[in-house]
Amino acid sequence: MTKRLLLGNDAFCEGLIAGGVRFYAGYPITPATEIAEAMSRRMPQVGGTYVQMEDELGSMSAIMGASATGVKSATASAGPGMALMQNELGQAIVAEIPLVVVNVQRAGPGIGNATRSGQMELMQSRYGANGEVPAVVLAPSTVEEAFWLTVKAVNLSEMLRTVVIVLGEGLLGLQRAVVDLPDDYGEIELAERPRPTVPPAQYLGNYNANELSDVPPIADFGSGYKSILSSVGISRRGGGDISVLGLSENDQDFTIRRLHQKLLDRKDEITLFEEFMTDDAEIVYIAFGTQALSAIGAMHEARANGIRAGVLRLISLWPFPEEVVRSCCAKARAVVVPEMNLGQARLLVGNALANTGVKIVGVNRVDSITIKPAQILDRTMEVLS
Amino acid sequence: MRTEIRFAGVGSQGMVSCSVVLAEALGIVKDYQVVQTQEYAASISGGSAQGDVAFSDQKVIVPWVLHPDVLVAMAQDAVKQHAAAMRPGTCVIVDDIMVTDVSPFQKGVAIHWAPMTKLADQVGFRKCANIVALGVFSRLTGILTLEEITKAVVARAPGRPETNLKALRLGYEANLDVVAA
Repeated sequence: MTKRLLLGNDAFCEGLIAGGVRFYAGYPITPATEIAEAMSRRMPQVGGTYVQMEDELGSMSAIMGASATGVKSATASAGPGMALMQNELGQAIVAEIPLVVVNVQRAGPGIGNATRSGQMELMQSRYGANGEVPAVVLAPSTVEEAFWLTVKAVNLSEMLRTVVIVLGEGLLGLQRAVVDLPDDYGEIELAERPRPTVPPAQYLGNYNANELSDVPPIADFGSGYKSILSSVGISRRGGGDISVLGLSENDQDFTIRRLHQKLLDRKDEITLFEEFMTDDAEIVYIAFGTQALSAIGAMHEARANGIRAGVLRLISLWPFPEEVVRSCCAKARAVVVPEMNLGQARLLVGNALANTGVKIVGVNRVDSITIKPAQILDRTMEVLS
Repeated sequence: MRTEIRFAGVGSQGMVSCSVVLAEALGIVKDYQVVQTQEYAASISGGSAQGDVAFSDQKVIVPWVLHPDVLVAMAQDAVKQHAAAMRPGTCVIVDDIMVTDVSPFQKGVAIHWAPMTKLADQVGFRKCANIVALGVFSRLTGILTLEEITKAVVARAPGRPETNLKALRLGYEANLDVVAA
């Protein structure tokens, strides 16, 4: 382990490499540009490939193709770039191509505010693509976590044959911290996608699923197996003829439900969170990403003022960990959700705590300025009075 | 104990670079826990720009600089923007050409006028005023020796080594005019 001062965006880059990513196609965009810059230097050093694409649509298409050959692949973007990527994102999820996409969120709609930060794409991460596809979304809070969670994202994408979004923020991507990371990434445990275990002649295709929880094997392009990837949703019991474009009602139902169920049945492996002093908490702050750190600061100030505050820091955002929220708030009178949007996480927390009688309020900023612990404390006083 | 430092000026004065060099000095040359953050306008030069460093001998949980213990202000706009965050007992280093009015600071803030731009001009490269500022900062706060800050400048600002090291030394040895607000 060597101590180094690392930029958040470099931590995402190193996490991808440590996770085994060897193909990166991207289009630079503030505040994620340093990931593309770093990847253009690092990929050749580790025997990988970096492609500077003409736009974000091309980036997503390129990494889909690369991953189909069996190479772990990733890209990164922000705001308007993520908006452009939604079509291919949905395609990759339904085609079940393992990919990682890092979104270093900027602030605001449209082109947005390039050098500023926000948390406005929580819902887009889950619901941005058409056609009821699910998503796995992980949100780091610190530079060190940006590294480890990106490794985890690569592993989950392989294990689940899906797209994993690492939901960063400008405030994290452009932050530097002293971190201790392994010198040799070879010691890190990596996951591989399920591949065929039968000879090519007996292979029933990349969508041979029998149960809703199945993650079927996928054959690498060029490996000698008949490997067809479809972006219309073709999974069916026993594989079978995949040349049809129009699905039967049964096949469509099975496909969409399986895309969700394969994640839900592995929710324990996906769900990560951190609790601070929630055991006796009368008020719980629930937050994700960088704003969870302000919540922890507020918790210490509240405790110093005799208020029993606790924090639930959500790391895995989708599938949303309702049961974790419920158990952390078992003794709470109120929940405060600080976030740099107008209440996207609060909506999910509200669903999780429906009919529990717990009061749920937000602290919301959309001016791209971080929420201060004092602001959370002020809201606490209002709620408890 | 947690300490917060802010370098503020306009884009192209190297305020973010300043904070990166300082974070390197505190976190790698010394052994503090450090988080460096930054904010700047989308315009390449001329917009507001700041580089922040929070450090402690324990884990830095809240990464944001909320109430700087030291502010280095390289432009009048920076004074306007950040004066309110400075509490009595804190320390401000202002550039004695770029800043003219320190009336926005509260009473009890110690203001040090430093010839950072002037010394950079003396070196022959105005853009190294930020390196001069690091020298001034290190000497004034006593947080870093000249040797320690030099190591960080070499590591993080490797271009123009002779100019930078000369600028750093001039800053470290500069005489400052001190006034209390």
